[in-house]
Amino acid sequence: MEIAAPIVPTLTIASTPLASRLLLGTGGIANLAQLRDLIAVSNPGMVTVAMRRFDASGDGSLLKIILDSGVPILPNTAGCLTAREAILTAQLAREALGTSFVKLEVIADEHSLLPDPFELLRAAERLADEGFQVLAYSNDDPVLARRLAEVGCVAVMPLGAPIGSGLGILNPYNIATIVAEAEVPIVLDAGLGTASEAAAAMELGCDAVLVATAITRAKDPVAMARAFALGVAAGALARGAGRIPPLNEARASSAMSGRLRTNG
Amino acid sequence: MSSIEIWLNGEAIYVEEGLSIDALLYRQRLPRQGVAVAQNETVVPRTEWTRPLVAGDRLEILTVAPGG
Repeated sequence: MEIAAPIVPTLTIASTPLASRLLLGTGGIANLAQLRDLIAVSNPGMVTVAMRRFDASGDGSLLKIILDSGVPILPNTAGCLTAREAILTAQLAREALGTSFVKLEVIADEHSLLPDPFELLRAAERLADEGFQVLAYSNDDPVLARRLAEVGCVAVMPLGAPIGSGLGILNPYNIATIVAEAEVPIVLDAGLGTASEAAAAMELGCDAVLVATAITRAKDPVAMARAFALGVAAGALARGAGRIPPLNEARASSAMSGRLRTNG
Repeated sequence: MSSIEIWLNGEAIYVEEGLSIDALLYRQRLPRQGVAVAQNETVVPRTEWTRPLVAGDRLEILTVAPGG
Protein backbone atom coordinates (compact mmCIF):
# COMPACT_ATOMS: atom_id res chain seq x y z
CA MET A 1 0.00 0.00 0.00
CA GLU A 2 1.26 3.44 -0.84
CA ILE A 3 0.74 6.29 1.55
CA ALA A 4 0.95 9.79 0.12
CA ALA A 5 3.59 11.87 1.89
CA PRO A 6 1.91 14.58 3.95
CA ILE A 7 2.42 17.98 2.37
CA VAL A 8 2.76 21.34 4.02
CA PRO A 9 -0.43 23.37 3.55
CA THR A 10 -0.02 26.47 1.37
CA LEU A 11 0.39 29.79 3.13
CA THR A 12 -1.47 32.71 1.63
CA ILE A 13 -0.53 36.29 2.51
CA ALA A 14 -2.85 39.05 1.32
CA SER A 15 -4.50 36.73 -1.23
CA THR A 16 -1.12 35.66 -2.64
CA PRO A 17 -0.47 31.92 -2.25
CA LEU A 18 3.20 31.28 -1.55
CA ALA A 19 5.21 28.39 -2.99
CA SER A 20 6.68 27.61 0.40
CA ARG A 21 6.92 28.87 3.96
CA LEU A 22 10.55 29.88 3.64
CA LEU A 23 11.10 33.49 2.64
CA LEU A 24 14.59 34.20 1.33
CA GLY A 25 16.47 37.40 2.06
CA THR A 26 19.13 38.38 -0.45
CA GLY A 27 21.34 40.28 2.01
CA GLY A 28 24.86 38.91 1.96
CA ILE A 29 24.69 36.96 -1.29
CA ALA A 30 28.12 36.36 -2.77
CA ASN A 31 27.00 36.97 -6.34
CA LEU A 32 23.96 36.80 -8.57
CA ALA A 33 24.66 33.29 -9.86
CA GLN A 34 24.54 32.10 -6.27
CA LEU A 35 21.18 33.77 -5.78
CA ARG A 36 19.80 31.82 -8.72
CA ASP A 37 21.02 28.60 -7.09
CA LEU A 38 19.61 29.54 -3.68
CA ILE A 39 16.20 30.18 -5.20
CA ALA A 40 16.33 26.90 -7.12
CA VAL A 41 17.18 24.72 -4.13
CA SER A 42 15.03 26.42 -1.49
CA ASN A 43 11.87 27.21 -3.50
CA PRO A 44 11.17 30.34 -1.44
CA GLY A 45 7.70 31.82 -0.99
CA MET A 46 9.05 35.34 -1.46
CA VAL A 47 12.43 36.96 -2.05
CA THR A 48 13.37 40.22 -0.38
CA VAL A 49 15.39 43.11 -1.76
CA ALA A 50 16.50 46.44 -0.31
CA MET A 51 15.95 49.79 -2.01
CA ARG A 52 19.10 51.86 -2.44
CA ARG A 53 20.26 54.94 -4.30
CA PHE A 54 21.09 54.02 -7.88
CA ASP A 55 24.72 53.25 -8.34
CA ALA A 56 26.23 52.70 -11.75
CA SER A 57 27.67 49.35 -10.61
CA GLY A 58 24.19 47.79 -10.62
CA ASP A 59 23.06 46.60 -14.03
CA GLY A 60 19.55 45.38 -13.29
CA SER A 61 20.52 41.71 -13.10
CA LEU A 62 19.37 41.27 -9.51
CA LEU A 63 15.85 42.29 -10.41
CA LYS A 64 15.92 40.19 -13.58
CA ILE A 65 16.92 37.03 -11.72
CA ILE A 66 14.09 37.45 -9.23
CA LEU A 67 11.49 38.31 -11.87
CA ASP A 68 12.60 35.38 -14.03
CA SER A 69 12.25 33.02 -11.07
CA GLY A 70 8.58 33.89 -10.75
CA VAL A 71 8.92 34.22 -6.96
CA PRO A 72 7.03 37.25 -5.59
CA ILE A 73 9.44 40.08 -4.77
CA LEU A 74 9.29 41.64 -1.33
CA PRO A 75 11.02 45.02 -1.15
CA ASN A 76 12.08 46.13 2.30
CA THR A 77 12.76 49.42 4.00
CA ALA A 78 15.96 48.19 5.64
CA GLY A 79 18.08 50.87 7.21
CA CYS A 80 15.29 53.41 7.63
CA LEU A 81 15.46 55.16 10.99
CA THR A 82 12.17 57.07 10.91
CA ALA A 83 8.61 56.48 9.74
CA ARG A 84 9.14 59.24 7.20
CA GLU A 85 12.12 57.50 5.60
CA ALA A 86 10.37 54.15 5.59
CA ILE A 87 7.18 55.51 4.05
CA LEU A 88 9.05 57.22 1.21
CA THR A 89 11.16 54.11 0.61
CA ALA A 90 8.03 51.96 0.46
CA GLN A 91 6.38 54.36 -1.95
CA LEU A 92 9.46 54.30 -4.19
CA ALA A 93 9.57 50.50 -4.05
CA ARG A 94 5.96 50.29 -5.17
CA GLU A 95 6.64 52.69 -8.02
CA ALA A 96 9.83 50.90 -9.08
CA LEU A 97 8.62 47.33 -8.79
CA GLY A 98 4.86 47.52 -9.23
CA THR A 99 4.17 45.59 -6.04
CA SER A 100 2.23 46.74 -3.00
CA PHE A 101 4.04 44.27 -0.76
CA VAL A 102 6.56 45.80 1.58
CA LYS A 103 8.60 44.40 4.41
CA LEU A 104 8.51 47.37 6.74
CA GLU A 105 11.63 47.87 8.80
CA VAL A 106 12.21 50.93 10.94
CA ILE A 107 15.26 50.46 13.10
CA ALA A 108 16.07 52.45 16.22
CA ASP A 109 19.81 52.68 15.63
CA GLU A 110 22.53 51.20 13.48
CA HIS A 111 24.09 49.10 16.22
CA SER A 112 21.30 47.03 17.73
CA LEU A 113 19.27 47.15 14.49
CA LEU A 114 16.23 46.63 16.70
CA PRO A 115 12.88 47.92 15.46
CA ASP A 116 11.74 51.27 16.83
CA PRO A 117 8.19 50.32 17.86
CA PHE A 118 6.80 53.86 17.79
CA GLU A 119 8.09 54.80 14.35
CA LEU A 120 7.24 51.32 13.09
CA LEU A 121 3.61 51.50 14.17
CA ARG A 122 3.20 54.99 12.72
CA ALA A 123 4.66 53.93 9.37
CA ALA A 124 2.62 50.70 9.31
CA GLU A 125 -0.65 52.53 9.85
CA ARG A 126 0.07 55.08 7.16
CA LEU A 127 1.23 52.52 4.57
CA ALA A 128 -1.73 50.23 5.25
CA ASP A 129 -4.01 53.23 4.73
CA GLU A 130 -2.27 53.87 1.41
CA GLY A 131 -3.08 50.34 0.26
CA PHE A 132 0.24 48.67 0.91
CA GLN A 133 0.41 45.04 1.96
CA VAL A 134 2.63 45.58 4.96
CA LEU A 135 4.68 42.77 6.49
CA ALA A 136 6.02 44.45 9.59
CA TYR A 137 9.42 43.51 10.97
CA SER A 138 8.79 43.67 14.70
CA ASN A 139 10.25 43.06 18.10
CA ASP A 140 9.20 39.80 19.76
CA ASP A 141 6.61 41.76 21.70
CA PRO A 142 3.08 40.34 21.75
CA VAL A 143 1.53 43.75 22.39
CA LEU A 144 3.33 45.42 19.50
CA ALA A 145 2.48 42.49 17.24
CA ARG A 146 -1.20 42.88 18.10
CA ARG A 147 -1.10 46.62 17.47
CA LEU A 148 0.57 46.09 14.08
CA ALA A 149 -2.16 43.69 13.04
CA GLU A 150 -4.82 46.11 14.27
CA VAL A 151 -3.54 48.93 12.05
CA GLY A 152 -3.80 46.68 8.99
CA CYS A 153 -0.54 44.80 8.52
CA VAL A 154 -1.05 41.62 6.47
CA ALA A 155 1.67 39.81 8.41
CA VAL A 156 3.79 40.45 11.47
CA MET A 157 7.43 39.39 11.49
CA PRO A 158 8.82 39.14 14.99
CA LEU A 159 12.56 38.71 15.36
CA GLY A 160 14.02 35.57 16.85
CA ALA A 161 17.17 37.49 17.77
CA PRO A 162 18.93 40.62 16.47
CA ILE A 163 19.50 40.77 12.70
CA GLY A 164 22.44 38.71 11.56
CA SER A 165 23.25 37.45 15.07
CA GLY A 166 22.50 33.77 14.49
CA LEU A 167 21.44 33.42 18.12
CA GLY A 168 18.22 31.58 17.29
CA ILE A 169 14.92 32.17 19.05
CA LEU A 170 15.80 33.98 22.27
CA ASN A 171 12.27 34.18 23.63
CA PRO A 172 10.18 31.23 22.47
CA TYR A 173 7.54 32.09 25.06
CA ASN A 174 6.93 35.48 23.41
CA ILE A 175 6.84 33.95 19.93
CA ALA A 176 4.27 31.37 21.08
CA THR A 177 2.22 34.14 22.69
CA ILE A 178 2.30 36.20 19.49
CA VAL A 179 1.20 33.14 17.51
CA ALA A 180 -1.60 32.29 19.95
CA GLU A 181 -3.13 35.75 19.61
CA ALA A 182 -2.41 36.28 15.93
CA GLU A 183 -5.10 37.17 13.45
CA VAL A 184 -2.58 37.56 10.62
CA PRO A 185 0.26 35.28 9.51
CA ILE A 186 3.33 35.38 11.75
CA VAL A 187 6.70 35.16 10.02
CA LEU A 188 9.72 34.56 12.24
CA ASP A 189 12.30 36.98 10.90
CA ALA A 190 15.90 37.59 11.84
CA GLY A 191 18.41 36.00 14.15
CA LEU A 192 18.26 32.37 13.09
CA GLY A 193 21.54 30.53 12.68
CA THR A 194 20.68 27.05 11.48
CA ALA A 195 17.91 24.87 10.10
CA SER A 196 16.75 23.29 13.37
CA GLU A 197 15.85 26.78 14.60
CA ALA A 198 13.61 27.25 11.59
CA ALA A 199 11.91 23.97 12.44
CA ALA A 200 11.52 25.18 16.02
CA ALA A 201 9.92 28.42 14.83
CA MET A 202 7.38 26.46 12.81
CA GLU A 203 6.73 24.12 15.72
CA LEU A 204 5.99 27.18 17.86
CA GLY A 205 3.26 27.93 15.34
CA CYS A 206 4.84 30.51 13.09
CA ASP A 207 3.36 30.52 9.60
CA ALA A 208 6.68 31.08 7.84
CA VAL A 209 10.32 31.93 8.41
CA LEU A 210 12.47 34.56 6.72
CA VAL A 211 16.19 33.85 6.45
CA ALA A 212 19.02 35.79 4.86
CA THR A 213 22.32 35.82 6.72
CA ALA A 214 22.13 32.26 8.06
CA ILE A 215 22.00 31.06 4.46
CA THR A 216 24.07 33.60 2.57
CA ARG A 217 26.95 33.64 5.05
CA ALA A 218 27.02 29.89 5.72
CA LYS A 219 30.14 28.09 4.57
CA ASP A 220 28.03 26.39 1.89
CA PRO A 221 25.05 28.68 1.26
CA VAL A 222 23.34 26.39 -1.25
CA ALA A 223 23.43 23.42 1.13
CA MET A 224 22.19 25.63 3.96
CA ALA A 225 19.34 26.96 1.81
CA ARG A 226 18.19 23.39 1.21
CA ALA A 227 18.58 22.61 4.92
CA PHE A 228 16.40 25.59 5.85
CA ALA A 229 13.76 24.58 3.30
CA LEU A 230 13.65 21.11 4.84
CA GLY A 231 13.69 22.51 8.38
CA VAL A 232 10.74 24.77 7.68
CA ALA A 233 8.80 21.93 6.08
CA ALA A 234 9.64 19.53 8.92
CA GLY A 235 8.57 22.06 11.53
CA ALA A 236 5.33 22.83 9.72
CA LEU A 237 4.47 19.14 9.44
CA ALA A 238 5.34 18.52 13.09
CA ARG A 239 3.20 21.43 14.21
CA GLY A 240 0.27 20.10 12.22
CA ALA A 241 0.86 16.55 13.42
CA GLY A 242 0.47 17.55 17.06
CA ARG A 243 3.39 16.76 19.31
CA ILE A 244 3.05 14.69 22.46
CA PRO A 245 2.91 16.72 25.64
CA PRO A 246 6.23 16.74 27.51
CA LEU A 247 6.21 14.65 30.70
CA ASN A 248 8.58 14.72 33.63
CA GLU A 249 8.62 10.94 33.85
CA ALA A 250 9.15 7.98 31.56
CA ARG A 251 6.25 6.25 29.89
CA ALA A 252 6.96 2.83 28.37
CA SER A 253 6.15 2.53 24.72
CA SER A 254 6.27 -1.30 24.85
CA ALA A 255 3.67 -3.22 26.84
CA MET A 256 4.95 -4.03 30.34
CA SER A 257 2.80 -7.15 30.58
CA GLY A 258 3.96 -10.51 29.16
CA ARG A 259 7.67 -10.00 29.71
CA LEU A 260 9.82 -13.04 30.55
CA ARG A 261 11.29 -13.22 34.01
CA THR A 262 14.50 -14.91 35.14
CA ASN A 263 15.42 -16.09 38.61
CA GLY A 264 17.65 -13.21 39.69
CA MET B 1 20.76 78.87 -21.15
CA SER B 2 21.41 79.21 -17.44
CA SER B 3 22.17 76.25 -15.23
CA ILE B 4 20.61 75.34 -11.93
CA GLU B 5 21.90 73.38 -8.98
CA ILE B 6 20.00 70.28 -7.92
CA TRP B 7 20.76 67.42 -5.57
CA LEU B 8 20.90 63.96 -7.11
CA ASN B 9 21.09 61.17 -4.54
CA GLY B 10 22.68 63.52 -2.05
CA GLU B 11 25.23 65.07 -4.43
CA ALA B 12 25.02 68.54 -5.92
CA ILE B 13 25.08 68.68 -9.72
CA TYR B 14 24.43 71.43 -12.24
CA VAL B 15 21.95 70.96 -15.07
CA GLU B 16 20.44 73.38 -17.53
CA GLU B 17 17.24 75.05 -16.54
CA GLY B 18 14.13 73.28 -17.80
CA LEU B 19 15.73 69.82 -18.00
CA SER B 20 13.16 67.08 -17.34
CA ILE B 21 13.56 64.15 -14.99
CA ASP B 22 13.35 61.88 -18.01
CA ALA B 23 16.19 63.72 -19.75
CA LEU B 24 18.27 63.62 -16.58
CA LEU B 25 17.81 59.85 -16.33
CA TYR B 26 18.93 59.52 -19.93
CA ARG B 27 21.94 61.73 -19.37
CA GLN B 28 22.98 59.83 -16.25
CA ARG B 29 22.56 56.54 -18.16
CA LEU B 30 20.00 55.35 -15.65
CA PRO B 31 17.66 52.50 -16.59
CA ARG B 32 13.94 53.08 -16.96
CA GLN B 33 12.88 49.79 -15.37
CA GLY B 34 13.23 48.94 -11.70
CA VAL B 35 13.88 52.50 -10.61
CA ALA B 36 11.74 55.13 -8.94
CA VAL B 37 12.21 58.84 -8.48
CA ALA B 38 11.34 61.10 -5.56
CA GLN B 39 11.45 64.87 -6.01
CA ASN B 40 11.67 66.70 -2.68
CA GLU B 41 10.48 63.60 -0.81
CA THR B 42 7.48 63.01 -3.06
CA VAL B 43 7.34 60.11 -5.50
CA VAL B 44 7.12 61.18 -9.14
CA PRO B 45 5.13 58.60 -11.15
CA ARG B 46 6.92 57.74 -14.36
CA THR B 47 4.09 59.29 -16.35
CA GLU B 48 5.22 62.63 -14.89
CA TRP B 49 8.93 62.30 -15.60
CA THR B 50 8.54 64.99 -18.27
CA ARG B 51 8.25 67.47 -15.39
CA PRO B 52 11.09 70.06 -15.47
CA LEU B 53 13.59 70.24 -12.65
CA VAL B 54 13.64 73.31 -10.43
CA ALA B 55 16.68 74.86 -8.75
CA GLY B 56 17.30 73.27 -5.36
CA ASP B 57 15.35 70.10 -6.19
CA ARG B 58 16.39 67.13 -4.14
CA LEU B 59 16.05 64.00 -6.26
CA GLU B 60 16.31 60.48 -4.93
CA ILE B 61 16.60 57.73 -7.53
CA LEU B 62 16.31 54.29 -6.00
CA THR B 63 16.63 50.78 -7.33
CA VAL B 64 16.89 47.30 -5.89
CA ALA B 65 19.95 46.03 -4.05
CA PRO B 66 20.61 42.81 -2.14
CA GLY B 67 19.04 43.01 1.29
CA GLY B 68 17.28 40.90 3.87
